[in-house]
Amino acid sequence: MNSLDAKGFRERYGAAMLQELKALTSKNPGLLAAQVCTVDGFEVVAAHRSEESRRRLAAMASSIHALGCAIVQEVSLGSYQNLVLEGSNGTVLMMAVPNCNGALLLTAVASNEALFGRFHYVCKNCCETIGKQLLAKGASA
Amino acid sequence: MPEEYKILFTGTMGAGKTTAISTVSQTKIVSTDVANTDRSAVAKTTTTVGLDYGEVMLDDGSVLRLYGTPGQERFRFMWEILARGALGLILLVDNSRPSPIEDMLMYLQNFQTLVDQGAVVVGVGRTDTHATPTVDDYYDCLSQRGLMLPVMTVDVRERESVLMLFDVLFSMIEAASA
Repeated sequence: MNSLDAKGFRERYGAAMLQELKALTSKNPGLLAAQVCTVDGFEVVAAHRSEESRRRLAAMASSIHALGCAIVQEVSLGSYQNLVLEGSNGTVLMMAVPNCNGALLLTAVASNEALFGRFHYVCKNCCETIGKQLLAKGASA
Repeated sequence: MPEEYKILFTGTMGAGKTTAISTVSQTKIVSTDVANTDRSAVAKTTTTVGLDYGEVMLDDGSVLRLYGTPGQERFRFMWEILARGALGLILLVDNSRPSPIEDMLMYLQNFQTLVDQGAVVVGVGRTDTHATPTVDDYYDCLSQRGLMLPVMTVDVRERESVLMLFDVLFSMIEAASA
């Protein structure tokens, strides 16, 4: 499964992923955008934001994710879990999607309207749901 | 107090930036390589998406902090971030690519500030298997654009070869500041 590129992930799992991202952003007040991209910076699917912004965000997410991994490794804190960026007007959360050998990342953007604890919880749930879909479809492929 | 200098490596994906830094670094390098899912671009299994980092200690106690950029244009934002405060730039060109001279020009355009400072050296790799364009071809292209930058062949797997790039780069920087 991890040999797929962004197009391959999109064709095989994109519809189900997009459904999850749309549910994530529509059901949670303050959750502005969500995106799944490959670890080398290609967008797979996204809910909201302009196309150019999504492309740039995918590249930036992969860079900072890789830096996060390097820092966690440097200070011997085990495996990287997620990254939180707090701005004055909101928060960005990045998480590795399970069951794809580290090939995919979820990035979500929330305004200050979203409660951080809930934001984190729903994003983690979304990641796990996508991970389960990958596992199920990968196993049946 | 010992000085610290920031030197930047850039160039296309697969040009040898990570290898060059690994070859000369005297500390364990920081790498942000991940799986490369775009094999149509370059048939490498991994690619740098954040930065590479290594250090070289000079005899006078100074430290060269070596930063490698991601190669692909979609990581242009990292080029801008990493170029801040850089003393000089080593631009690695892969001579086996379809248009290596155009590759060189694209990167020079994106690191214009360092080019204007004359703090750039161009290292051309894989000339053993791809003899053309020649170093003279690179010089011709640069001189047509009024650019006087050193171009030399390099084997990034060889420490002395990479250190030669540093020597030439520092000569350029010293000449520019004289």
